[in-house]
Amino acid sequence: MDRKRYVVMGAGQVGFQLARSLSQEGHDVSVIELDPEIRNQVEEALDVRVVPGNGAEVQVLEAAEVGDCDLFMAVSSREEANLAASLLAKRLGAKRSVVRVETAAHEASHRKLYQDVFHVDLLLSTQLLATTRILNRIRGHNTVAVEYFAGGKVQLRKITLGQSSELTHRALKDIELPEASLVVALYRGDELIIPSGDDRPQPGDEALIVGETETISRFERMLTSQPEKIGNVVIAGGGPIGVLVAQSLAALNVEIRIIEKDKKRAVELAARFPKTEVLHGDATDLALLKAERVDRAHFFVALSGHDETNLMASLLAQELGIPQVIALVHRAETSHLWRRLGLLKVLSPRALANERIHEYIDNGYNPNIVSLRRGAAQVIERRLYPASPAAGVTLAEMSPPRGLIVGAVVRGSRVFVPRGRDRLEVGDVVILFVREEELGTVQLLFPGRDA
Amino acid sequence: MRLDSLTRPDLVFPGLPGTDASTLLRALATEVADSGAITDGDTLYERLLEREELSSTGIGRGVAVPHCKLRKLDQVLLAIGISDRAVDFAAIDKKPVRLFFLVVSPDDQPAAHLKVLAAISKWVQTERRVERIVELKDRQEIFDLLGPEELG
Repeated sequence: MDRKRYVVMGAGQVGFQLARSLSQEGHDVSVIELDPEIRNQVEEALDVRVVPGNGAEVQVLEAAEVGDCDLFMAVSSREEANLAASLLAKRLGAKRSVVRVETAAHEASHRKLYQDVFHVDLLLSTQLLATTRILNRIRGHNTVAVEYFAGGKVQLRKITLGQSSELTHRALKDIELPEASLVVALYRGDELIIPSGDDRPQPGDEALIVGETETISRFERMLTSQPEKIGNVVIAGGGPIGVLVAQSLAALNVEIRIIEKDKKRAVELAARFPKTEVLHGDATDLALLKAERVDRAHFFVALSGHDETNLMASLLAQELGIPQVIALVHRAETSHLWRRLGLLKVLSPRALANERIHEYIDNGYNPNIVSLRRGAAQVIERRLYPASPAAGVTLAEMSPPRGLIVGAVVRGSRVFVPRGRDRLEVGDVVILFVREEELGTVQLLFPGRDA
Repeated sequence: MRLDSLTRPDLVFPGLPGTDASTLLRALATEVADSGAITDGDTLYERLLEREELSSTGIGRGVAVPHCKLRKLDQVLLAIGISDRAVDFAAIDKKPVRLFFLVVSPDDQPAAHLKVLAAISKWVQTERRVERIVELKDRQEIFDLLGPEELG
């Protein structure tokens, strides 16, 4: 096996698991850790090199020999230190870097900026990972992954098509898609199709859909479980993940209720979600749950910042007979205990981060979800220059070959999914979905480097 | 669209000399100007270089498609160059290049310009085509290999 050199900054739960799995795979792993107690644990448990100190300091990075490492993973719980360390590590010669950030907003809206400024190859938000997973469970496992482009204005979703999906059994050109959305790829078994209007999506396909973030939920409504099928959802804990989940479900017209312990926070949430019932109270208070007839809910999602609260509230929700209970567990190592208690649907944001980084490594360090299948297709962002042959041409005139789709156009502050009559202009940034064979065509029609 | 409808045998130039990208582009631009198809070879060469600076037109499989737009041209012009030696052209697949499709278009026909480029990209994708054409020495034989396929 090809032995790689990895440096992990921060031996918290994400870092510890990563260091363990990568060293067990036979790779050369160094771990940077500030806390002497955690260092001792790492030294006792793992076959890795331990470097004491703060990863945001140059001499510490040098001691960890980041200069020739294959991947630098800044996954400590300190977001600012992670970003600074990534910047320094890249400057010192690290080939690639992963940075863990806490809030979803970073990844959704400013991924490109962070990548450019801090030289981050993969920016990872534990909140966004957890939110996506929770929504999948609720919506019926349809969205496999979400990715953002153009400063968060364009969203890419990978959706598994069900038997009854309105998208299947007809040619794409005959299916009325919501405006500002487009099917840009179909995964069918081992095959990846960049479709033209004549392609017919089939049940079981994974469809990659691009659309404006604000309108893509309409697409989802069309494809996946209807809101009435999802039923009532109770969210216990109105923290950042709770808010993200509530936002997405509200966009799908799903009926939700939020239970929040903190009075001030509950008032804020009520103002933010005017159509939603916000209960001020303790989700572990059986009397409250009964009084509010929480037992009528179809989903109960425990998303507070405290594992004990989530555990307790979930057990009560199960006791009340709510069919689907999902709980967030922050301490990943205890999740198997929870499963033993019968709380099968537990998810840990940190364990998800670990999975995502492994996926990134296994995919040959390709951060895009659509570049799976060993680069069979790619997403490319290109700016149009005066010398770009595509500038001044309408999509209809261009009639791009099968295997090349112009998925979205960013023009100033506006983003749109182009149609045949739209003319591309100098200064536009286009987001292209391209099969490998058509990369040469892209090189000719849309010259330049990634925007 | 057929590639052989855009060019003619006297715009086919086998045996181009040069060991690097810019001397080859220069040689090709000079040949095209000498053939009388355009008037100003120097301007053509400069425009081609400008375009290459944006990013290489080496599209892989040993092919490059240098192109630009010029004023006072009636229609899209295609010339074919084959170099004696494969040269480094910073192509996307990093393979050295021997086959050159030079495309010069009127500056007010962007759609026509783009369609020709897309057609060339499609022509190149057929297996063994590039390998066969670069071994030919005769202008007419090279020209004949360009057609008669309809390339959309």
